[in-house]
Amino acid sequence: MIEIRHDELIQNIRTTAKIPSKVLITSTSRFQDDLGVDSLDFVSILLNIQDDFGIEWTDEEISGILTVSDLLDGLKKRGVKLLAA
Amino acid sequence: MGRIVVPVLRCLPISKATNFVELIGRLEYDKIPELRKELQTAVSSAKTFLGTDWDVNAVARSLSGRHTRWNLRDMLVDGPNVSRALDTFEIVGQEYFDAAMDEGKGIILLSNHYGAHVLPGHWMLRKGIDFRFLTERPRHLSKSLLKYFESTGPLGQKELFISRKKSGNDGVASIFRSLRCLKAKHVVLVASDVRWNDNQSVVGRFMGELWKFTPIWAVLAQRSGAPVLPCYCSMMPNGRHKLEFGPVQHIQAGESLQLLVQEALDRVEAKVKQDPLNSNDYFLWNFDTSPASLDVKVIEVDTPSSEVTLSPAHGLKAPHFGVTSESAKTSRLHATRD
Repeated sequence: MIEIRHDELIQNIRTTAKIPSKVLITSTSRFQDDLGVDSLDFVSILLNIQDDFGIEWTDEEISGILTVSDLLDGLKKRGVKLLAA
Repeated sequence: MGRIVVPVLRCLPISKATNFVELIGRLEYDKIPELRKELQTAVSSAKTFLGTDWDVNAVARSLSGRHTRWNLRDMLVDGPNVSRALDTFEIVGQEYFDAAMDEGKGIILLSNHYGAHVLPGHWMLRKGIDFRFLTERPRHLSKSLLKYFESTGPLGQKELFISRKKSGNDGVASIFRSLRCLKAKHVVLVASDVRWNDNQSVVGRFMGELWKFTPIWAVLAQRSGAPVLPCYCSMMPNGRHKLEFGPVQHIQAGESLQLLVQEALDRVEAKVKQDPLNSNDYFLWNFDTSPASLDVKVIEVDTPSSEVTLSPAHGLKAPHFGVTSESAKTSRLHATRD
């Protein structure tokens, strides 16, 4: 099973999408509305995860990922284990 | 024309059919003062901006004929007869196409949007090349293209048509689907001059005005490593078509999307100067004051400190070039675009 630390994943998202450190990322944060992630950055986030974990997102999964929590749930369904910091 | 005339026209040699259609357009120009005025104004503006020596009346009259042919889209090259369709194509730069194919990463076929932009599909279809359109669904798709698209399986065309009306992650999903198609070594046709307003649009200058354009083709290239193959598509006299492929581009990660889009726009603009008869829609952009057009228009505002600032055109009251929004709404030319 692939494992990743929760805080490491959040940091990867922050770095990829250039989210300022003053913006708090929580599980309920919406990528576009709360974090200001534009679609290109969102593509980068999903592609990086795809590459890192060797998964291929389906159209349905992509359409359903609106919040950080959606993304985490998607990873869990793909068998990725999220470890507490 | 539509359902009755097109089948009759298709029985004729393509050269005769297209010449007939263009003749109708020129006759309309001669008979309809409003159409004549609209085209002459558009051509005159473009002539001034581009600094050409066009005979405005001659170009506008021919353009009217070409516009009528353009309205038929790909109907005249439809049908099962492979050689009938292929014989209409003149291919320039086949070596660039072959070189891009040889890379084995799929091809991002970067076309101009208007004129004959659906026609590379007909050429590739008849050549047995796997391709998809990353475009809005054209107003008309011929039976042969539809049949092909219906046979495209899991990486099908249907989900690749993009829409200004879609929201959420649809744009993201389109990029992913296109990447899958490129991975499968398909050709993905995308236009370089699509005015688009979303949070990934970049501002580009075209024919002297600023508009928002989608950089999606450059993003695909950066993400996939697929070669970008510029292709200028045009309708020629006597029912012929020309596809001009240019040298392959490789886009690196981190390259400025805005610069890449501007370079592509500059290439199209240079072609407009050479080839006004395939530029009907470009000439009309400035005269379109519909909400959709204003949504992608960017206005340069001269401030007292002579700094240039940009603002969206929405809410703009003053019409461009003296054409009122009412006349734009009723224009014969604007009513038929994709």
